[in-house]
Amino acid sequence: MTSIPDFFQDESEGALRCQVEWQTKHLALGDGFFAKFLREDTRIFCGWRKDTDALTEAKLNVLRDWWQTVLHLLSFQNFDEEKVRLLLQQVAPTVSKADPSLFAPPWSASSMKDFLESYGPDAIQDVNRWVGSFRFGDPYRPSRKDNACLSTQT
Amino acid sequence: MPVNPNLTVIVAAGSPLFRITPVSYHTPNRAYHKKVVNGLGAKNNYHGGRYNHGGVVTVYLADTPNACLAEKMFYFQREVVRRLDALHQPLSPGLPAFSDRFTLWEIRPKNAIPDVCHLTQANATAVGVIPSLMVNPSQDYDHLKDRRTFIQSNGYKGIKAPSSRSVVGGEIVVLFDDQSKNVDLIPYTVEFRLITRPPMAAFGNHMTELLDFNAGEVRFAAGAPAGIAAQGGWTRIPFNH
Repeated sequence: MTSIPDFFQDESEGALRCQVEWQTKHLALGDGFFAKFLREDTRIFCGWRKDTDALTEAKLNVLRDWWQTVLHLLSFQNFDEEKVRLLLQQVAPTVSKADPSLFAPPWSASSMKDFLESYGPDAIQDVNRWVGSFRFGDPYRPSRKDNACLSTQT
Repeated sequence: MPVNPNLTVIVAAGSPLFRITPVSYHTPNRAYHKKVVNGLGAKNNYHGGRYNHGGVVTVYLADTPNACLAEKMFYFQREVVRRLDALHQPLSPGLPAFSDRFTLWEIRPKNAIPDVCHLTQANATAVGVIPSLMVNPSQDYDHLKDRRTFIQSNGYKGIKAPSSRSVVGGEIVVLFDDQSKNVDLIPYTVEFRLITRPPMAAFGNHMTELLDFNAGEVRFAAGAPAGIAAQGGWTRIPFNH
């Protein structure tokens, strides 16, 4: 038996609404977050949630990409929703660019949630790379210029 | 250079193959299970995988449950250790869990997959693969990613190569195309846990216990593929590190 809802793997627009609702309920990511993240008017986003307004296909695809990252974060934290919520909200101290740490996240002096709101869809890849460095990549390898994260780009 | 029939094997229709995923793939609706073999996970992974650069569709499978479990146990343990290494960071993702649940999938192709390049110690050099890098368990190499590109550009549909992490044999099957329309899948829930060095016990305290870097344990909740001790107790899974 499994307790994973079907909408976890569904990519339809209806499933996207379920995913947003799930994130609101379990990860405390509300309409304000999604509106900023998508660069969308909050009223339009709320209207989309109620199926009375529309989002562009490009913005729906951003929600699909972000959901994949949420699944990675859940897996990363052993499906402990509380830990994922904390991971989203925890504010990182300022990290010196002169002495970057191996596993330092790209959202220096802010939280992952703030980082996503500030940089929008472009931030998804940075979050994925950070999680991926623990799981798949080789964080001990000397960094290459083309690996630069948003926060290290000038 | 065309496909060399002397280097190929056919992945037979109906032959069991195995893959492990997070439990989030195990939905009630079986239609979504096909995503397990669409190869997009490897494509979307910036870092790439053992036999792929990032951005390339790749389906990683193993030809035995034990090889699959050994491969996953390596990565599970490596992630835990990296997270321990990051504990002193100002924004550490926190103390990792030393156990986790996954879904082991038994995957049977509906149609045979031909032209899979079979890499062995004897023939790897025919396609420019350095045999030692193929079986060294310590890391994944750029060389293998590069050789996959070469092999695929010559018309092969995949690679079959030794599992570098399994200590009891078994091979990995790396397919270059989305297999979501070509498979039947059976899910099994499996629990992983790390263990201490002898006297062996579940690893539970990173400040006082020594981790066994060459083995972990698995336990199946309800049913297991053939060849694996069925539900109930923990089974030791040794792996190369």
